[in-house]
Amino acid sequence: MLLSASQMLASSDSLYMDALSLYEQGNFESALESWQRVVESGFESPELFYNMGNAAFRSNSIGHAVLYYEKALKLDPSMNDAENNLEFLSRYKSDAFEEVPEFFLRTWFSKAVHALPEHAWSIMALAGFVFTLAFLLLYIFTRGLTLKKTSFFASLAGLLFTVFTLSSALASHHEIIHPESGIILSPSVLVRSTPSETGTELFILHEGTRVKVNEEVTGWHNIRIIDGREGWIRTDDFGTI
Amino acid sequence: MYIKRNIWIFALLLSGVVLSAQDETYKATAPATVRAGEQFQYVIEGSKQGDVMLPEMDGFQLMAGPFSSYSSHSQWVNGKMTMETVVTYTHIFRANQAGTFTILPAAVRVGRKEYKTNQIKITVTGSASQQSSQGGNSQGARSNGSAGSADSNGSDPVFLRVLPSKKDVYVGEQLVSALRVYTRVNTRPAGGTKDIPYEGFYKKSLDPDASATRQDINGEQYVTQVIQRHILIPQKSGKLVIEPFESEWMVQQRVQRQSNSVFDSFFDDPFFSGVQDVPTKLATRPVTINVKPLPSGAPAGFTGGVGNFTMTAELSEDEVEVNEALSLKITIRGTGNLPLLGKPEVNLPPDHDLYDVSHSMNISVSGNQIGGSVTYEYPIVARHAGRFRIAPVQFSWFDHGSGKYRSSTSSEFNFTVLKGDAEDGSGSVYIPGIMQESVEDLGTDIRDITRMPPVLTPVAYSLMDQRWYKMFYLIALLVFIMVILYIRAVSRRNADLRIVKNRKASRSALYRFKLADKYRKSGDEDRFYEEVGKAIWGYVADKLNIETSGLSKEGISAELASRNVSPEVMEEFSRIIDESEFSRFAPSSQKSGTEQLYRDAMQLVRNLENSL
Repeated sequence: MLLSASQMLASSDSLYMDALSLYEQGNFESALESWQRVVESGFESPELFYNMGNAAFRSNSIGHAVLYYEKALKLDPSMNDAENNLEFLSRYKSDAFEEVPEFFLRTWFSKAVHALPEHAWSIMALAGFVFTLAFLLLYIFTRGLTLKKTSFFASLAGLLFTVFTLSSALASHHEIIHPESGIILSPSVLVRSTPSETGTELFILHEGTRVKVNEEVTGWHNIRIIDGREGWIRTDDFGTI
Repeated sequence: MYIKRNIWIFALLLSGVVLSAQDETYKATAPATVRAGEQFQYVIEGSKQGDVMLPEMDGFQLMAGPFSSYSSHSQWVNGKMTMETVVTYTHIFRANQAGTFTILPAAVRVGRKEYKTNQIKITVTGSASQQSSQGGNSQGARSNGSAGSADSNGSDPVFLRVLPSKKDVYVGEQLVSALRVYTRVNTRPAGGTKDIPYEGFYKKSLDPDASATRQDINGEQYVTQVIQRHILIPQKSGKLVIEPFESEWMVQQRVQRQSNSVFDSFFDDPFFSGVQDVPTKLATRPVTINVKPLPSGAPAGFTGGVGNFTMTAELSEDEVEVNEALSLKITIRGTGNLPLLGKPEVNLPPDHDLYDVSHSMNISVSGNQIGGSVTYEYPIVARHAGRFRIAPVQFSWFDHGSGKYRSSTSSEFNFTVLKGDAEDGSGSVYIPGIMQESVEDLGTDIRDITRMPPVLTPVAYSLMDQRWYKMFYLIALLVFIMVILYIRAVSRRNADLRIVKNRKASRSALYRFKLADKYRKSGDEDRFYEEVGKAIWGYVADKLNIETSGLSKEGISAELASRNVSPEVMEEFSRIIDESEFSRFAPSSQKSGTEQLYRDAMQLVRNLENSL
């Protein structure tokens, strides 16, 4: 079992490198396909998604390019190249929105959560937990008054730190398991009021637009755009980050 | 005219031969009522030719004339010849306005004599009046008359009728209307005949059936012929009236000649038959068509079609590039009011530009019905790439045969718009900066790919999901609990040890006191003091749980003070310790006696036992 997993990893690695050379030859679409196969075989990495974004952009698929850069940034929020290219792509997007202001704590928390990848938060939470317990022990068993006070506050600080990092990790984890954001992939998509072809046409979104993904009804997803409007689009018209 | 001149010559000849001196009377005749705008004949009849001087004819306009005609009739009775001549002067007038007019007597000058005609009263009715018919000139079909029967008073030699094929139709339903002439005499239209202006109808002319047929009307033989035929499509509901239609005809009228003159046979020749083409206005009778409105409840896609149609729709291409045009072609075939159809509604996906719908008609008439096809072409230009769908086009019409609406629906259309070259990069507009000497971008592009071999992780890998990660929390918690438990256990054991030591303290002190007492009795004072000191130190050390090595008098005192030992006892403790130590090294000095010290030490331990 372990062996086959490592074999798969090895074959994915070679597939990845093949795609890289295809890209260098200017065969962007084939490169993108090969990289897609790597993802389909169950592996990912920020670099992989970043390169896929480039290949998608070179094959004129703005929506996919945006999606892959976002995926890369999700895995590694500090990936500068992906951020830069995403910024570059914004000029190709047709849809412009006025942002609806959110509650500031929410924005802060969301920004904080997205500042680090999930595993960083998880490890920090674990470290904070251990730290808290250690100082709790010190607090319980020490005799000296100053030491007791210090250890008490240290463990309290550790507890707060743990709570924050753990909730960030959980939020991050939730986003991995249930992706909340999506990118419109079809060049233009009709957003309807109900999950059917007969629903009233509400508005049109174009590729590359980021949407919040809510509930799903077979083949359709409820989405919300940044200015707060909601509607239904077909599931194959967008990709989740 | 040629004939007329000949007649004239003969008349002159005859007048030279026969001069009968009878009184002349001239009689004027005209119809009693005419319609405004209509022409009528004003005839002066007499027996001798002369110069006719018409009176002032206010309200009438002389259109033609005078046409004079002359006929003579001679008889021989008992060797005496009587000759009767009839001279007529025909004038064609037109009545200009409605009202009652009196035509004053006209004068006819014969030689030196002047004769007056009678006075005539003419009532001119308004042209809108539909009751009046001009004196015998026109006879239309009665509006309630059926198509086949011609009702006529039979006396009219020529009349026109409008004969619709149906009189009860729906809006938009076709009917055929024919203009027919019925005649007993030779007739020909004067000049080109205009089309009947069917008001409220769409009309399309048909070839008139040119063959003339005979028809018997009220015992009179008429020759009848269709002059105009139209397909009519009523455009509004209600009672539509086909207004009287007038046209001018040249009606051949035979001039009466009852002459028995020698020339009769000669004049009976058709060449001299004395016929005359009289221009006559013929008018039809108004015909009312009852046009029913379409029933309510028209389905979607109804654009006014009445008849029998089929619809086909096709999309020119399935795949176009952005900003290229494709077209949706909708063809409607069948019979019915095709020229009056509205274009079917097409629901384009938004984000597409629809240009002017072009419209071509191929209409023919067959079997007295308008049929053919109408094609609508919807040019569509897509602005963005994508997959799009045009909802099915529905076309509905009214089938007047069954009195129901019918509709036809096309399939839905799907098409794909591909990205063209035009869209590539069109979004990037470079605005040159008006900054100082900044580094100018020659072009912008995305950053290149990374060539580092990636660290591939399983998709949606999350530490949170890993068992070992959760185990770490558990382990940390377990370690925490175990540490607490361990420390608790150790401290409990130490506490036990203290209790043991505590208990041991007085016992070991007692033992040392006994030993000291033994030394005192044997006179070994050094040993005695040593044992007393050890007894006290040991006791305090055990009681306070302090290592003997760490003992100092000050430390012990502080410890004792913290345990609420009374100052007297502390003083006693201090004195006995001092005494036992000093006495050891200076036995000669200060000998309060070993006995006393022994007892005091015993008392101190007892006191300490109580307070600790």
